[in-house]
Amino acid sequence: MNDIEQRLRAALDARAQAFPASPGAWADTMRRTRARRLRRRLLLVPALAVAAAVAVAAVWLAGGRSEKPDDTTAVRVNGLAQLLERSLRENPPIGEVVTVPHPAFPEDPIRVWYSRAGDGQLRICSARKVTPVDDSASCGLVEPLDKEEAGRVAGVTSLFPLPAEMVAYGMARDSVGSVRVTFGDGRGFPGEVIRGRGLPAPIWTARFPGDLPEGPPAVGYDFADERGERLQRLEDILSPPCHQDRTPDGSGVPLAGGVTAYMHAGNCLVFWHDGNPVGMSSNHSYLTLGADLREPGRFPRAPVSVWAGEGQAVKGLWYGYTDERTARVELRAEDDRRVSAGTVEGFPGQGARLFGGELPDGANPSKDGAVYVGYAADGTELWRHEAVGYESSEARKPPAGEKDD
Amino acid sequence: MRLLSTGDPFGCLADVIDLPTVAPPSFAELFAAHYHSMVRLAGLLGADDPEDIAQEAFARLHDRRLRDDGAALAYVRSIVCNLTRNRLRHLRLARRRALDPPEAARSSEHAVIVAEDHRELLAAVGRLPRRQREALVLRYWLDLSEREIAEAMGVSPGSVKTHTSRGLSALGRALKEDS
Repeated sequence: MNDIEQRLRAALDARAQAFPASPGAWADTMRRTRARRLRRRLLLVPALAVAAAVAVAAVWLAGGRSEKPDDTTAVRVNGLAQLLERSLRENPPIGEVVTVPHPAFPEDPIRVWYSRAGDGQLRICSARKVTPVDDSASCGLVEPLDKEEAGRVAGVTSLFPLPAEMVAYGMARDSVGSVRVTFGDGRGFPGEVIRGRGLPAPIWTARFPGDLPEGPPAVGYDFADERGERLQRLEDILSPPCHQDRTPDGSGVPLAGGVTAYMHAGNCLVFWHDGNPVGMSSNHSYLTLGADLREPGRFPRAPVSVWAGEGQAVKGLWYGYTDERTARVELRAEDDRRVSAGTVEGFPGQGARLFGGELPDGANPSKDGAVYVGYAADGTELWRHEAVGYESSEARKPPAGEKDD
Repeated sequence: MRLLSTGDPFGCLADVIDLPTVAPPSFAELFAAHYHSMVRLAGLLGADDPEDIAQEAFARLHDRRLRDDGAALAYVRSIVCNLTRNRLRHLRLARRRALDPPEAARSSEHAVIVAEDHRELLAAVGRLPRRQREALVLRYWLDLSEREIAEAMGVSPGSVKTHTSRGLSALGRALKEDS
């Protein structure tokens, strides 16, 4: 090694010492993984949130003329059609609007198209039926693909309980020639890469059955080039661990607004309302709710999981669970209006207490964000969590380097 | 309105990433062992916010869930290089910032640690073309092999040889001129 090389080593070593690592790096990184995952799932949170909003709009558009209550077909079809029309008007398509057959609603195919936001950023939009009475239309920001990425997932139809068949769809890089959904047991299901007229990037779709192998409900999306060489494999967990178990285990805990919490097998908590699941815990099946709240690296750091606002919860309600020390949870809306809910005993052995209440009129924490504060029985503040709404999280500065290439 | 929310608004779906089959300890161990060196790598490559780069790189690794530690580390290194490169390109800071770490990162001993001859050399490194600087930092700070450097930089091993050799020559010339 010559003199320059030796000096270079010494100089780089010395300079390297000047770059510290913050003690909160692990938590910050975990937060990013969650944020990235949420964005990549097509922005599923915004999608669900918008779904709620547009479904209301659809009812207004289609149902404002007092259709007969039993005329569900007419309302249903008109709802989706008008919702699609409105969404296309508000988010003008770039290129073709791609039609993807919906396994659960053969007469109402999924529509997928690209559009541009006001700031010129590419968005991928879709409109589809969520349930027989709910329609969804949404657009999500498409960040530029990284060099190593071949595609992204934009949406997956019904996830709980897993249906007989599902469809996943998303965007693909130009070089992608084929896509295939694979299961852990070796089964594979070829999809389709659509290069429609004028599309800024291909759209891929793949249809696959809901009888996933035992274990986590995971699938892989394999993207390959025209020669069949794999470009990337994306792994995806389709839903929380209680995806296949629809039957509650024991009696429920009633909360405000007709919401009832039930434990299912595998430490899975599901909030039910009017016969429908309206919230589901995402703890590992081997962790009780309380243990999950104490997990290092968990986000949020505060011991709370809460559902509030359009797309996350029943309209006008908020509910969730927290640790056993917390006697009261306060929600501070974006405009500083406050509501609070006392916690009630949860399920034996779970180490968590439940809460629920009504939101301030018109408040939408999922969109606008909110601050949640937990208090002990003597009024001492135990924890605080500031939840960012999807609007501000979409508008936030992109992470380093993501806008390049 | 009946919609299924498959989790809480804070990252519900992400919470199921670390299912038992994913071997989360391996990621945590990798993070513990290499996070700081990735911060330093980003800093040495000229990133204005090295922690941001390192965290983003690990977040991407977490998404990829590479099970092989060697592959995972190589992946993180390449992401740090890519992100730093992109950052510099975007912010057009490559020349202005050179190898200066952010002010907040300077410790009180910094001036002592980085002796004058180091400053001169580091300033010269900072003026090198991006690829040459990457090759030199990866070679002489991380002690990577040509193959590993090639992987991190996304170039061929032959290019690594060229960048390294040209970088060293350029440093030699710069130091002669300065003296």
